[in-house]
Amino acid sequence: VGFGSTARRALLALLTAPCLWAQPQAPDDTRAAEPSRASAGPFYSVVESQREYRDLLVAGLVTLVAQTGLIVALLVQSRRRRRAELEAQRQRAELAHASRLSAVGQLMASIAHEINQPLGAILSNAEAAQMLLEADPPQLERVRQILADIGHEDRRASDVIRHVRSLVGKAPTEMRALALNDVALEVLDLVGGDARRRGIALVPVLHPSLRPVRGDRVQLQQALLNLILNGMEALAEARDRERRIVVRTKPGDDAWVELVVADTGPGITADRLPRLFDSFYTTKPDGLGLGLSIVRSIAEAHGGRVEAESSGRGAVFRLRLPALPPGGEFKRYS
Amino acid sequence: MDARGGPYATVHVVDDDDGVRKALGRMLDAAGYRVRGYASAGEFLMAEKADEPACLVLDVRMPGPSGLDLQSALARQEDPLPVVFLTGHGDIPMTVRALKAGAVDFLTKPVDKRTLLAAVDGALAQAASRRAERDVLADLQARYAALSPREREVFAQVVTGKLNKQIAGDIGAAERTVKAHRAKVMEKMQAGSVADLVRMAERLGPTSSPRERAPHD
Repeated sequence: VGFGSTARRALLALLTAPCLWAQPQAPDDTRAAEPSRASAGPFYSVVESQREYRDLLVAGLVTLVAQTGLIVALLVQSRRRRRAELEAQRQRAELAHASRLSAVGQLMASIAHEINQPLGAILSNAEAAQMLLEADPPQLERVRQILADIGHEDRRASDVIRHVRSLVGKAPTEMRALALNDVALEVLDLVGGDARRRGIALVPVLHPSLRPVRGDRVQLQQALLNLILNGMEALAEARDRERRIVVRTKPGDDAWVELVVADTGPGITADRLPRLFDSFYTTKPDGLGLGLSIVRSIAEAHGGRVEAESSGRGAVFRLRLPALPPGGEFKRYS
Repeated sequence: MDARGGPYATVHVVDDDDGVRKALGRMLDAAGYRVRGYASAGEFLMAEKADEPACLVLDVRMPGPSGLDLQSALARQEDPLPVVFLTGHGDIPMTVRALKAGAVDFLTKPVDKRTLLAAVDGALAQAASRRAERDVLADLQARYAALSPREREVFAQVVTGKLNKQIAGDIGAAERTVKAHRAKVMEKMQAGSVADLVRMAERLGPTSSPRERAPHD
């Protein structure tokens, strides 16, 4: 706006000086007229100074207009870029959300199981309590213990629902200090039943004194979930070998912490490794090829990276995240 | 003693979920059964088990060997315990497999008291009748073991429907001697008639008769 008014003022100044426009000479003519300058007499110097004033004004005006144009163009461009970035970010978030939904969908049977277990325990406990109250004499102490366990089982069921809801919901990104072990344990809770049903041993090896990371809990859970689901799919075809996925947290070099997911599947062939994290790259007939690309974009959004290696004994995915300095803003969220 | 085998009936509960196992155990205990809990199929197989009427309440899905694995391991034993399966989500193939392998029932969690107790009673009734059968057989075997070699020979011939005269010819003895052996066999086996003796021979299997025992798997 400030620029617009300056330009308007300059334009106004130009229009209110009609005498300048009475001289139809182009700036080139100045040089052409120069030899006759000396013989022109005192009257000429007035014309000359008017001309110089006009030249100055035109030059200033041109600069002004050019600058204004440039600045406006830059502003428009940056705004457009920012809008495009926001749009890309929004699309990434949508995609990540859709992929979380599909992951949770895959786990639905085992999630139902995880909720059913405490519900079953609550039911049997309540029935036992009823019988103990009807007994003669009523066994109140045992009923008291049962009631405490019912509360515990209830919290267990609602924890499962809370985990699922946080993955399914569309919470805005919230970067905060997190213990990677807690993130891992919540995901393991969620997929544990599914792994068991598929006959896969899910082995956590969590480093006891890991430095916290700064990150979005849901996104990091999603990254780990995708890596584990990927491992379970790799093991689906492996009937004749040990079926195991190790989820390991450990301090990496310098200021890094690592989350490692290693399976005992058939591994990844060398020609597939470079494209593994590309979007829409998949080797599965019904895969979308999004899982690992989402892991990579989550890693990058956290200032980290993810890499894969493969040997005859399976595939290893390593997610590296920058550690927070010790004694930083760390706070257990649970 | 009531239908469920009375106060001596034991229910073995195998479930890896501590909370579920504890709650099921409490409920069955309050209902008057003796309950023993195990966290895995392996723990159950390793445990010392008394010789008593019992049944198994088994979670299908467990880490390590599954409930179905345990069922087939038990089926190879001489005297398998009747099994009631519990599952979080029973798919049809799993249910079919379990029932074909002789499961008494296949219940979906959460299971209510009435359903579970009915299934457990059914399983214990089966255990009781198997035990009764086993006891009868053991008794018969003991009686058969008390027969002399000559008496066993006569026993084998009698149950094929031969007359004393024919038997005498076959084993090369006097008809009177055969008659005496036959009376001794009837007495020792506590059989009231030849028909009784034939039924006993069927139960005892090929040891007592020339006929092959039918394969029963």
